[in-house]
Amino acid sequence: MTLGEPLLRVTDATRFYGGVAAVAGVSFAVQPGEILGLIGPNGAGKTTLVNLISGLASPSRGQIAFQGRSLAGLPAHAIGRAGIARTFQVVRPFQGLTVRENVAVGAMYGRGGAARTAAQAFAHADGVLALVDLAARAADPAESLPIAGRKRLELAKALAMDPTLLLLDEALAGLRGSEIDEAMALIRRIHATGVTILIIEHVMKVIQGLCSRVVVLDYGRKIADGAPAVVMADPAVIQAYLGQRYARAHGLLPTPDAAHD
Amino acid sequence: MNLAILVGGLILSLVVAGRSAVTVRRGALVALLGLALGAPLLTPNPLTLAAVAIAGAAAVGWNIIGGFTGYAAFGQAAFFGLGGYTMAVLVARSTGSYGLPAGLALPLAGLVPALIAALIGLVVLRLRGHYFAIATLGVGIAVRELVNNVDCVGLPSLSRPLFCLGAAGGIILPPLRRSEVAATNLTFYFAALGLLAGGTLALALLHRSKFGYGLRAIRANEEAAAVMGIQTTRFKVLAFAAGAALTGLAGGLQVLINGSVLPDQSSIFDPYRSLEVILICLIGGVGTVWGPLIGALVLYAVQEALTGLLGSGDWRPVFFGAFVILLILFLPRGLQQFTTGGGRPTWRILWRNLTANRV
Repeated sequence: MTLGEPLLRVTDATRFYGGVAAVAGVSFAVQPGEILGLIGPNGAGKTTLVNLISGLASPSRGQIAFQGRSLAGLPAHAIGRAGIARTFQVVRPFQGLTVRENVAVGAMYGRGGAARTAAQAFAHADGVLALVDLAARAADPAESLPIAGRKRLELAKALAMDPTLLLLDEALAGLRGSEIDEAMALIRRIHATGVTILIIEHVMKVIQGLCSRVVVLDYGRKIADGAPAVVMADPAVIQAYLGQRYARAHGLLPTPDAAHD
Repeated sequence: MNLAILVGGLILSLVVAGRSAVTVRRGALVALLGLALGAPLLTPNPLTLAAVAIAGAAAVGWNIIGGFTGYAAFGQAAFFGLGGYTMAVLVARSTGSYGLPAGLALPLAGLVPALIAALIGLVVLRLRGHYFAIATLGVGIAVRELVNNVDCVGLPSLSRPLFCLGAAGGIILPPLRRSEVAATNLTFYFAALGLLAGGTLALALLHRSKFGYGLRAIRANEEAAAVMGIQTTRFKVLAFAAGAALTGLAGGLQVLINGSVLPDQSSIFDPYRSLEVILICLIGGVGTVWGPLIGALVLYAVQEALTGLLGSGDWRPVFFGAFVILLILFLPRGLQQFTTGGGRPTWRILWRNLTANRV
């Protein structure tokens, strides 16, 4: 990878389901080391885009390249081993395995997996469990965790794969106030270890707090791409996603009173 | 006497698989091995015990694909039969067979079903859930009909056929001399025991291996397993083939005991075998290391006890139908739930299973 080349480049990505384009001609790049936010209303195509990147669906048109290599035709497991890990919006713990075993699977088969024995994978998993603060629940069945714990487990499974790029699909949805703050701190810790992050999130506080750049989708198309403050003041974004009330409350639009001043 | 041996073995294996202290479990394992090795001294006919071990070994094969990987295969009888026919072709001395010693032929009775399973698996393992179950049900029937109708297969350039399956006539193995029978029956028993012990050991190793964790991840969620770097197709095909190999070995041994393969309903392809391996794992615990052993001991002990009470009649299908329903309602995770359930009272475990949310 040459200097200045993006870690991930999505060019004209398009995916049809039947006659509907869930993602239509979306292009953007993820630079190494950044936290990129991906926002947009429900049904805008955010999860479809993550599916295209992680190999669970293939683009009907367009290109996705990771570290300069095209991902076209690569199966999901090859993309995972190449260094792209993802979480699922509806968490998918491996039932029947303990919390520790769940995380160890990521360490066995992710980017660093081929070189690890089962015992080494478990040792690696213990480090990840400590990072996400699940060490105390290591021996419990995965399905016994409360929702906040399951969200952290989902993150830990992805993290154990030693990803270069981490795709977080609403990893914080369903968490309460204090839990959100903890999760944001955790994502910052993960980022500090050198992982590039693409995050889908509806809570704007999270996007503003974490992201250096935001891409906005609406009806499968990209409608904005830039710094959070700039994007959130964009009339098209307010119209499609944030809404007038949100914009006024956060000073992004002049309030009716302010207009008289 | 057989019943006492089976029940004794069952109690010991439940302790081995349970949550007692390690020393207790080790002691039970030693006692279990001692009982298995000494059993021929206690019983007039070790072949009835060999049948239990063969059924258990066949069920170990199903447990790899159906239990660990979560693909409910309903055609395991196909691989039992293929193993059996492979053995017959290799050992018989008629036209189109090879007259090999049984010991040399046995590995191939595992290898041939494994290769065929790999080919079939590449197609049917693309299906999931009910579709996979129905496809394997079809495979079980199709393989039986194919094999039962093939006489000799060869190439035009060869003067001898490659192999003969005998079509409606089947294949008859060379008969044993009367003086050999007792010693041979003992050999069969130990061979079957070795297969079951080896299969259970393989499950124990699989349970803690990277490959085994890959299979269990696939069982829990195939898409999540794939994005985590697991080559799901390759893993499923390997599991299907490994399961077919073990079931095929069991079939090969069964044919040596039978002395022939004959294409009728109670043949080596008996479709009941497909259900029996599942029933055994259900009883003992699907996807567990000790499930096939425990399940085989329970099933054959119950059979033995009922045959004593009711005689050998047509009660078997009715009884096992009811048995499956009760198991699924009250003990969906098998008998081992009692020994790993943390000492909760029996009725509470049964009641909780009955009222638990079912998918």
